[in-house]
Amino acid sequence: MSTVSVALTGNPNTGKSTIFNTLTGARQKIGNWPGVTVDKRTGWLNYAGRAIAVVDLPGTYSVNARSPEEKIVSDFFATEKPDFIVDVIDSTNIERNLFLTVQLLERGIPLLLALNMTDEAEAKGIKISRRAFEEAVGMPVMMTVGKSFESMKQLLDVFTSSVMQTYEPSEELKAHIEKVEAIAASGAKDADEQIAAARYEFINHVMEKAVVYPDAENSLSDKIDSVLANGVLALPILFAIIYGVFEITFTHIGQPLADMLDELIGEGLTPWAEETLEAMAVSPWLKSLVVDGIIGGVGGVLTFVPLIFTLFFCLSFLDGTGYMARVAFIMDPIMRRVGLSGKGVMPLIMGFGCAVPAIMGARALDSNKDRMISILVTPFLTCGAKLPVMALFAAMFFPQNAADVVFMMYVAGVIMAIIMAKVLYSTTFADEESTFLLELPPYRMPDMRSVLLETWDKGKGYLVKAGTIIFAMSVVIWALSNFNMSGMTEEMNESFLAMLGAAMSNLFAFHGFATWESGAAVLTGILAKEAVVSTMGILYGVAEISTEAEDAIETATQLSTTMGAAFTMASALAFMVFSQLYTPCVTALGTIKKETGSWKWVGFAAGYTFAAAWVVSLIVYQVMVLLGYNY
Amino acid sequence: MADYVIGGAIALAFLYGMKKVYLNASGKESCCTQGTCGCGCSGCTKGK
Repeated sequence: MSTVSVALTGNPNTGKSTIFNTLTGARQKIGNWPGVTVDKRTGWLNYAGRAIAVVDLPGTYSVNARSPEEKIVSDFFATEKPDFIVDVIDSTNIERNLFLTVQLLERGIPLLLALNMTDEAEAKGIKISRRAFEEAVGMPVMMTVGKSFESMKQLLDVFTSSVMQTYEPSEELKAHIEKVEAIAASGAKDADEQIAAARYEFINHVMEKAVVYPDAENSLSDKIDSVLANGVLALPILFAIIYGVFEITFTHIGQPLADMLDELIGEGLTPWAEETLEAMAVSPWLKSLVVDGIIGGVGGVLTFVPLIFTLFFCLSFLDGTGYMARVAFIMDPIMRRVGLSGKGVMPLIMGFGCAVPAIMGARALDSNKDRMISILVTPFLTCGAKLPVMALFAAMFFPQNAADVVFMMYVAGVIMAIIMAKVLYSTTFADEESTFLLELPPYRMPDMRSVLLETWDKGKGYLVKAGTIIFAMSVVIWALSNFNMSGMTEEMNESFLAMLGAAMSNLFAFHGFATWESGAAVLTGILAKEAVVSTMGILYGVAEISTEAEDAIETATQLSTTMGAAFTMASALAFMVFSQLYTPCVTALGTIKKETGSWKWVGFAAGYTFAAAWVVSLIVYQVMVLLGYNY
Repeated sequence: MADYVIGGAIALAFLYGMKKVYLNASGKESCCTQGTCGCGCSGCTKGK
């Protein structure tokens, strides 16, 4: 079977990824472009007896090779010769999109122009003549709607045809290319400006021939933005939306599903495993390893999968509507006050998923100052791995206000990040300037297929980690909690883990959680944040405890003998705050080393976050005690 | 016999998990927990 190679190129936010997702579905692979941390998305499918390989190039505005994305696209076209290069153009913004198109055509690259999101253009009253467009450019033009399978079928029909061989650049395009080559050869000082002017001249020619705009009026996006992104209501609405996401995650959908899974593991899997292992006559230590160690540890972490997926679904949905791009815009004035630009919000938002891509995402920031500050404050945010810690403690100690308490933790993380950004800006990086340029895509109804794929992409890492790193950590924690110098011990209080945890817990004498169990959880949490929960799961056996508020009597009885006995409301909140802010996990530290190239910054990031967590947690505990919540 | 089969399987899974810990901590592979950039394995340097 012969293979057709297809490359998708275009500006950011043109629906390129939606086309890629609709074409390839789940048959895709995310890797890296060589030498840079920009995602390389490749996918494949079979159609009409042909294998079609699709690569989704990073969205760029030009091929000047200034940014990593531009360099990737430029290098790709210099070395690769795919059968079809689809230039995806946002039909509601053709003029700006054509700037990249013209640059590619000047390089002699044959393009299949996909005028995408034609449904939105139509809704805005923009009229496009496909035939006139083809004549003006001399390249085949398709009218597409990225989320429409019918539209994609038409694209696939083209991919399996020989259509590109019948097209050649229009006379106007040939004349434009000759003109640009002449300007470049002249060596004029203002050659760049002259070339840009020539490009716009050609673009205007195409627009006049093929596109008719309706009379100027405020678009629907502009109207929505006048409320959501401007004026006094923008910030309250932002907080209300985020709060709504938390309510959905922790009260209405995520938590009930998590409770069901919790019950399934506690009342289904655990007894089944015990009975099966007994029937197989395995040694008692191995049974303990499987039931208390692995099911207790990994199961405790898996319980939170519904919460993680619900939260990521909500964030992906918001991203799909175009609202997340507004968040950078809304937050710009606040970010400016601490010395960062609104652009710095985007890597920080990633930090709510995982600090690792957030730290890497800081590469997109323009100045070294922005980049370093972003890298150093990201660990304060509540990543997906800290979420189970927050959810566990909130459900146990604040069952009536679990969503509010977790929301407060997120806000506390953001406030801490902002304060530390201000401190770092005023001290360490005081002398550097930064700029901010942001494009706001129009609001649109997200394509559910893309939202679900994105949710899966983000969430699957959590599952993989539970099956690998958390599995290994659970075995280590079980071994450390069941052995001491004289061999296996029944008494966890005399185990290696108790010794290590007790040494660590000395640091928390005034925080209300100076127990060896908490010390051990803090230690293992540096290896992976989920390990805080798996440690608690093994030491307290909480994987078997229902977090349903309705089962209050049963839960209270169980808790009184486990975690409930070790924490008060004050110390539980102090522990949550400490877990939220302290030293990032080794993976994040490894990434900081890779991004900054300096062990000094790794040490600084590990040390100052621990110190900050220690101080804030101490304050929280003492204030809670003063307020009388130490019960 | 069951001890050896189950114990062996756990040992293999444990070693695989520890390898992941090492690769992540050393910055050789940054397969993250989850991210907002399609990050199943964003930043993974495997196969470079």
